[in-house]
Amino acid sequence: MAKAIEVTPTWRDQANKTSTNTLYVPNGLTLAQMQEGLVAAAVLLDEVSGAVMEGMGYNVDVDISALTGNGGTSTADVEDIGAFQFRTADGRPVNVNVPAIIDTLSIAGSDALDQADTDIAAFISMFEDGLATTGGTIQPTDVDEDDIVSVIYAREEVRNSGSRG
Amino acid sequence: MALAITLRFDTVDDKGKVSSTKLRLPNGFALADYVEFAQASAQLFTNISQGVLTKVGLSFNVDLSGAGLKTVASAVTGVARKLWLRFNTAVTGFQAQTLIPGIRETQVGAGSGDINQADTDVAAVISMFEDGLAVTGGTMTFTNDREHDITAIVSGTERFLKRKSA
Repeated sequence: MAKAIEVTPTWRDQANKTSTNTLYVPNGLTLAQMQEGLVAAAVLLDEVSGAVMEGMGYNVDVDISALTGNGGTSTADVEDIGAFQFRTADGRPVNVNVPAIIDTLSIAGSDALDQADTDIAAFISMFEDGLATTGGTIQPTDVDEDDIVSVIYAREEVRNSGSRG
Repeated sequence: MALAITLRFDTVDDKGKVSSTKLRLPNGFALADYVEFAQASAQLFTNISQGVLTKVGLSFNVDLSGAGLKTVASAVTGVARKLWLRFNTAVTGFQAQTLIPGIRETQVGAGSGDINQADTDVAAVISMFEDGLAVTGGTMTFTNDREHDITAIVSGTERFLKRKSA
């Protein structure tokens, strides 16, 4: 059974207190249809609330059932991360951290990840060169949509568990 | 300026600790393309991690700049006062609900906690959930989290809750 797409408007009242609510819509609409329908929904919701709708976002779950090698290991620690820093076309840094990095991907006697390793190289190439999709190549960016163009470093680090980049 | 789309990976390790990673992607592609990218990148991610990837999700922002929404909150509005709408769905026994923050006192029936469903604005929201909204080339319907279509209102009541709500 597919999980519905979760839509979350964010509200703020006159006392600057914030809140959210959740709507669900089925999968199958295009992004343009989602934009059109959710703007119309926002207008109707705005009319029944005295609070200001500050934003609205939605999340789409991706089916990862076909992944291979996603079984994990008994030695995995999400605090043991692969820390990658990239640079965008405008020279801004972008940090991406991979939890539970495989220990053997580090160069012996160093915390540097082996960028000659096939899997590390493929991961870095995804950011530098993008990945081909049916509709064209998607190139990862920073939050302002500035293209990532090169890797600055790739090394093993340790950090507390939580959000990564 | 549009904000980039967020691709998020959730990873869990052998001790049950969870961590997440975010990538940013440019706007301008079809949903199927983003899903294709997400699945391919998830495999590349898995190839260098010994954790278990438990969830991959794409987050999109809705551009509300042209919607004409109010920009100043009503002076008497509190987000703790919710419009609690409960609906039946097409699957018996499974309901849907939402709690809309900042309901106005004037939309609550006199001497009651029930919402005035005849109020034009309230009726329009109920209709939205029950009948969906027309979009180019189709209809956006509303469901519960299991994709069961909302069919009919069960109740609409005023409810006071903490700021955050479902």
